[in-house]
Amino acid sequence: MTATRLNPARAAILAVDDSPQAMEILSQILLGFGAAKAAKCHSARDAKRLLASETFNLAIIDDDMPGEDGYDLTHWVRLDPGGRNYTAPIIIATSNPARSRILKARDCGANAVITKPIIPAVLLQRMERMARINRPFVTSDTYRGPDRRFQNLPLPEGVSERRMDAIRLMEAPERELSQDEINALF
Amino acid sequence: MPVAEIFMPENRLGAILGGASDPTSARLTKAAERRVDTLQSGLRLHVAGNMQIVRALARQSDETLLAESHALGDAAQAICEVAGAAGLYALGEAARGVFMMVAAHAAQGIWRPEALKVHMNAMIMIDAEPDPDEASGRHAVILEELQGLRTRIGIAR
Repeated sequence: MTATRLNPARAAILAVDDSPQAMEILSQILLGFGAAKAAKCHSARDAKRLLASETFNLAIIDDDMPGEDGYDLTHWVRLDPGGRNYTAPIIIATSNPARSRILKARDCGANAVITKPIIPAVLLQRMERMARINRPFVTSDTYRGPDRRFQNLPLPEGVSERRMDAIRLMEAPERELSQDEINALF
Repeated sequence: MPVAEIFMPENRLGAILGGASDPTSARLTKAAERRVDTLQSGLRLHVAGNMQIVRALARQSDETLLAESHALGDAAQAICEVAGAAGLYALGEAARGVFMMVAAHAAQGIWRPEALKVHMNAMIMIDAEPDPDEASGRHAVILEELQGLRTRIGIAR
């Protein structure tokens, strides 16, 4: 990764977060990446206005906002196939990496989830990965978003089969997922 | 039977892939980290304000804690979403445990005040350390114990 050359300044990025502190962290990260022209919104309502009138290369959306939350906003972006940002990459940022919420983000059509506080290296890795991998996009009655059928991960080293007790534990809806486990779901 | 349309959209982030004259990702990461570091004092003040709420609620009865669970969840969330960026990693992760337990109460009805208070007291203890770097070994043990506790109530990884 260290030798990769990137220029995020070429991307129009939208950041949405109701927390001034979290927004400041994200803003400084994006400035450090050279993305000086990132647009910022503190609510889903303001973000909708921008998303309807401008084209973005990436949206980074907080999941937990009062009123319409980040899942609602992501779902709204994916509603209109004629919308300017219908296929735009969306990263949801969350403080609560419970399995149920990660799956909700995925079902809304998000491309990735990262945990807060956002760590520059983690965000840049996700951006680079999305830049390098061309993913098909699915429009159906029940799902609109990036095609999720592209990962075929092997069992972890030393594991010969999935045990039912491990599967039950993995499927607990409130179980906290690590960033690696979250990445494996997208 | 539902019909799905599958197509290959333009890769909108492809534009960021750079050439020889563009900065390395290591350089971009360092630049971003340096900028985040400049926020530390303000973020620590924000954390300190929310820790006052946690401290006050840690002394309350289980009934009061339940009645004030929204305030506790908000304070814990406010801490966990910035503490790591302020160099207070352990405090942030302990706060994340509190936030997730309060959220699990709202979503699943899992309410475990004793586990919450253990987490809140751990936060107070971690916050009292004058040098988080020097105490990182002790903090790692505390976080492991908290995670074990959350695992037993179905919340931790």
